[in-house]
Amino acid sequence: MAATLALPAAHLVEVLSLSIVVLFVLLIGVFASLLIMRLVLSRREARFEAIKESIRPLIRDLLTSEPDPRNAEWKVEHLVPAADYHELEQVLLENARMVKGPESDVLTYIFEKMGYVDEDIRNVRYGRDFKKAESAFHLGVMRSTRSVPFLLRILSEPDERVVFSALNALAHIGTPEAVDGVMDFITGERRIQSSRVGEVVLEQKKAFAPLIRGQLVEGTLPPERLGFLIDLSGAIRDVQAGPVLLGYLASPDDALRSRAARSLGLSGDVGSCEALMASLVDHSADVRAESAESLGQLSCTDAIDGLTRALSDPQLRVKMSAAVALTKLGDEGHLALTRRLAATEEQERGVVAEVLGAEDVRMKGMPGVSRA
Amino acid sequence: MEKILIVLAEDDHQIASLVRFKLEKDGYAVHVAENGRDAVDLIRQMIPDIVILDVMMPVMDGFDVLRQIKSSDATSGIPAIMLTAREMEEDVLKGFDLGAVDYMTKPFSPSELSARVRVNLNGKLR
Repeated sequence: MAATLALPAAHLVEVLSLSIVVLFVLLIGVFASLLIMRLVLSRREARFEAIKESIRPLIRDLLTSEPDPRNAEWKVEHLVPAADYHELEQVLLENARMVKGPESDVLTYIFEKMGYVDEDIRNVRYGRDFKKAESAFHLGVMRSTRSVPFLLRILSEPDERVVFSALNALAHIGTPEAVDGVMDFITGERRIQSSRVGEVVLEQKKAFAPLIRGQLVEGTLPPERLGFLIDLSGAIRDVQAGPVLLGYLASPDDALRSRAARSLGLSGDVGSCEALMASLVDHSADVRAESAESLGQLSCTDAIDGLTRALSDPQLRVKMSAAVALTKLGDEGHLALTRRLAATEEQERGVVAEVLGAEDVRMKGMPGVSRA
Repeated sequence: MEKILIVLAEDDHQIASLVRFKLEKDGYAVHVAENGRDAVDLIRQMIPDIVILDVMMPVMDGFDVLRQIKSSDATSGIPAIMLTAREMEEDVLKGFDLGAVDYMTKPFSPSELSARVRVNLNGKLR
């Protein structure tokens, strides 16, 4: 009986030991493969980098001494081996991001003549989403006017990466057709993040700012779209949008008033201080809070009394914005805030202490600054 | 004849290389600092004819470098050209308030930068 029990037990031990050995060998195999793969990749990366480093002086030389794009293209084609054209594209792209003017024209010509534009247009038309986004971005850096119709077409794609790359590229290219396409998208129905679109529009601020202001003056778009354009005016810091934003600060729509208050602060229009001070007693807490914040951003020193009163606002968010704004109004603002440490209301005292504490920490971190 | 001396403060290696290459080709001697603090040291040590300052730099930004230059008698007369990112274009006024003579936004044309250097040197020769 004992012998019959011992046999399967011994067998089990043998199977287990064998499994452990196999597993161990497999693990070593996987580890070794990963190591080899990493070595191969890093060697390949080093090779790419070495090729790019060898191409960079040529491109720098062309950009600083070859005003004729045709000569520049001829030199690139004859001095860089065809096997290195992928690395060449990377170097051309990194230079295209840095320059504008005649140097940029030279690069645009090279991109077109060497087939890089065709390749990226093909990717934009038929590639997978990742490739589409990447190629759209490249076409913008290349400033390829020929690619505009293809970029406009992918603005209706569901993938946001593709859409933002196309918007970015169109703004970068900046021809009237490209700018109109971006504006059509911005004023269209698709919901998108205003800060990201702001980054895109900033590329051609001079072209977009008047168009956005024009739409705001017209005011015929649905409120959500108008709110988006108000945000955009702030995001691109369009100081000339001040008067039209002031109009929206008087809108019957709470959300539009609040967005206008925020954008006025971002836009840097100091002429809006008075209207923002009046908005500190708006019936909407959002408007009061945004107005307080903007008064600080615009350094409206006349607002110290109003902001001090806003410290006793029933809403915590408004108190906090007013306290932070006061810290931005020089010694007088700081003094007004410090005095409120003796406020009777507990929440107000707490907010003031918290903001002053954070301010002290911030000031101590700055070289050569001490505040008694 | 000694070359005109330029200190370029720029933390982006590619931009610094391109600008240096262009300015050297145009006959200037260029020294590059990769952060604001090194730039201040280099400027105090070399007393260049003109400085080109990127605004956004590690350790000390371009405005602080400009403040330091303008606060010392030995360096206060050195003209400074600011390089700013497009989104910081509003800071240009701040640069002028601090004593900058010119500014350019990135991306920029190296040949235009060289032309502005020439104009701001006002025909100065060493």
